[in-house]
Amino acid sequence: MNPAACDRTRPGKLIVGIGSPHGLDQVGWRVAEGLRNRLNDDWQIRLAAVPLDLLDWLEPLQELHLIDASVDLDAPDDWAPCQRLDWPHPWIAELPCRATHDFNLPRVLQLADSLHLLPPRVTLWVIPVGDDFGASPTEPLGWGPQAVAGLESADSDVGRRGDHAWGLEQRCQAAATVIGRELSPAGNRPTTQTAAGPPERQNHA
Amino acid sequence: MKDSNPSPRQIRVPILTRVEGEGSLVVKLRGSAVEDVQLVIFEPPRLFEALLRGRPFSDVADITARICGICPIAYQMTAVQALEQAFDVRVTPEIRLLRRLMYCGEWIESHALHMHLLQAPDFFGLESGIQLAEQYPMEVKRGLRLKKIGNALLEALGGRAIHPVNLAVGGFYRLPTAPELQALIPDFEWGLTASIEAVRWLAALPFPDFHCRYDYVAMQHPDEYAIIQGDVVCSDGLRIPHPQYETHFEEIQVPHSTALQSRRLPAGQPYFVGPLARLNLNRARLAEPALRTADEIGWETPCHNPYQGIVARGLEVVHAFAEGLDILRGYRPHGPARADFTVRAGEGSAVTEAPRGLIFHRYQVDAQGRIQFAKIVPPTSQNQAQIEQDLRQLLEPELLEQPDDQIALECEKLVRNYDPCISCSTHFLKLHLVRQ
Repeated sequence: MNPAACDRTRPGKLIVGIGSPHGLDQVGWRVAEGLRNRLNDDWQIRLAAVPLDLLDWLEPLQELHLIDASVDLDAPDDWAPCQRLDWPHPWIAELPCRATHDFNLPRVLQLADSLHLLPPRVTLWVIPVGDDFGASPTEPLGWGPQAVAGLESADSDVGRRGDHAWGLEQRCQAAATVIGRELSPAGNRPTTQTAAGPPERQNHA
Repeated sequence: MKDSNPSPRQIRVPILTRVEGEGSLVVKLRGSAVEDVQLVIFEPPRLFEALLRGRPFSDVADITARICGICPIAYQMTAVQALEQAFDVRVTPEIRLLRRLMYCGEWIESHALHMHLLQAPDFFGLESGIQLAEQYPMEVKRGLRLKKIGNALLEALGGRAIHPVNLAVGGFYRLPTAPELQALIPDFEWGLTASIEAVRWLAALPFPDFHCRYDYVAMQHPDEYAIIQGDVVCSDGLRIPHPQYETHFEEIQVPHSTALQSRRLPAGQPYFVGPLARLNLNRARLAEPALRTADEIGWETPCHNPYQGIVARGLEVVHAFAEGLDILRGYRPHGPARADFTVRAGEGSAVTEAPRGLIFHRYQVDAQGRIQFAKIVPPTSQNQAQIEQDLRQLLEPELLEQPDDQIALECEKLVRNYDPCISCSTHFLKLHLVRQ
């Protein structure tokens, strides 16, 4: 076990996947779960059903990373498997989020900021999922050629598999790989794990 | 000369904020006369009752929990108790006590959220909990910690705070260990003190001078502050066992809402459920620290000011911490996690007290335990007609002289007194099929 994991006096690093087990809303959870094998014991990983859950977990932290799906991410490089937005990036306030009692993710972050509860580094990783919310995980999501080409150049481990219609599983793996590499510099990865290889191709007859 | 037929004026609140779900308000005025007030709920119906039909009884708690992320225990608890009545299951006193404890956790997390982040900003002229946090960081942090403790209790008893998975017909799937619950005692000791301080803060808020003679409806139990068992009582003296609920209360459809509205029978008048109703009907049964706090702040019952509902919520949080602490301190797991029972065809109903008020479930099951019929009446459905009636009273000539924005804001504040959960209330759509 990494000694740092036992050092409770040191502020921790927290990753929170936001979503549910259902449809494309599960992307936040699956990407967060996909990071478990890619990061060492310094990292704590939690799954939130609603952004308000975050407020319960903001004990002193070094870093907070949030992962959520977005159905309408209008970014210049929206071909990427995920979009990185560091708080307080102005786009965060503009994200088309909805949540219970009007406490969507931007508002929860604003509230935490007002109360000085946010750690020095807060990053939101937004996973674009298109607008077919509720699609089956086995259905292709239809990334176009530009997206796949961009992904190839962004991360050589996540290879192209011939067609451009990746399923949810592949997209989650791709996002987890990219985020994992960002968060886990060489030498800070689990010794027993290697970064994920190319996702298995699914047959979409 | 006064216009005998002034032009109509319409006040719209297109989206109600700081409530759960999606709804709006429409107020139609003609001169100083209020022609119509509509709490418009346009969130799509969620059809939970139909979804349950044909499902095994063991699915019901998990499915109904999805009706609400803030008050899933209310749906689960009412469902399992109704099914226990259908199967003639008697739970042990230990299980009953743990269920009360679980409900205390839900009251704490739901009330703490509403008190501090949803309703309190209204009394300071602020637009949001974020603004309140900037001006009253200590109070908001205290509220968030109270909420967190409620969630921690739900995690300990239910496996997770949102949509817990441990409640079962007959008891629980697994009893928590003594260390798991005893670990919460220090937080509950802090919570009891902090919730009393929160009530003192709330009691000093500037409450509008608004009073209505409400018909309060809540459960009542001779030996305890009613949460999971008791008769249904009304402030006019009606007392009925819960299986008679549908004889005295009915749901009707109104054109402007996807949620049904409840009325009392036979006259069809609106009624009021929730913390204020519970406090007015059951004050003497509050736990001693809550009763002492109510006396200290001079909170008199009956209270007919709906804005004081925030204080009622606060007192219930004190009660939940006090009762929860007693249960936690005395908890020694023994006996089975679940009572044995035989699945059989039958019918059962139950009422419990959700954070927002009384909730009723009724189920019919076949011999294999599959659901044949389900009826769920959430608290927000029951309060809708009362909310509309309150708004009519609020819209007096003096307020109508104000700009439309101000009128809309005052209407929103009044609605938030009820902590409406619109997503809970839109679970059903009455369908009229015309065959030609």
